[in-house]
Amino acid sequence: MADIGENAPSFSLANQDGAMVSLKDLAGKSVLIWWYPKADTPG
Amino acid sequence: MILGCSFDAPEANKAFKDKFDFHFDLLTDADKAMSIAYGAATAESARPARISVLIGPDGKIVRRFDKVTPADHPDEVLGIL
Repeated sequence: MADIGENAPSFSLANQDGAMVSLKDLAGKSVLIWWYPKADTPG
Repeated sequence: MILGCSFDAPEANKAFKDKFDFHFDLLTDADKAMSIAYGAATAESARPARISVLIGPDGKIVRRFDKVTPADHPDEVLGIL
């Protein structure tokens, strides 16, 4: 599991429109990733 | 920059984003590999856990939020940024 101070694991995943989003394209920015169990559930 | 992530298909994420007018992308981690790498899921998980990870501009993990209380989380994160 990626821990504090370690390099964030790279990824390239499809967004809601099917476009690929890669962490390497976001270098130089702070990125907050939040996981949710299932779309459109409370919280 | 904010990114949401789940195992849901892009179609479900699009409906979710449109319904709540989220101004950020929702990603589909269909094979769970990314979620497992970040500790948000295990190979056996049917759904990812409700956690957040903050990545700094240098590409390193700055903070992990392993117990997210949705109502308090935005203020908690903004307090760090």
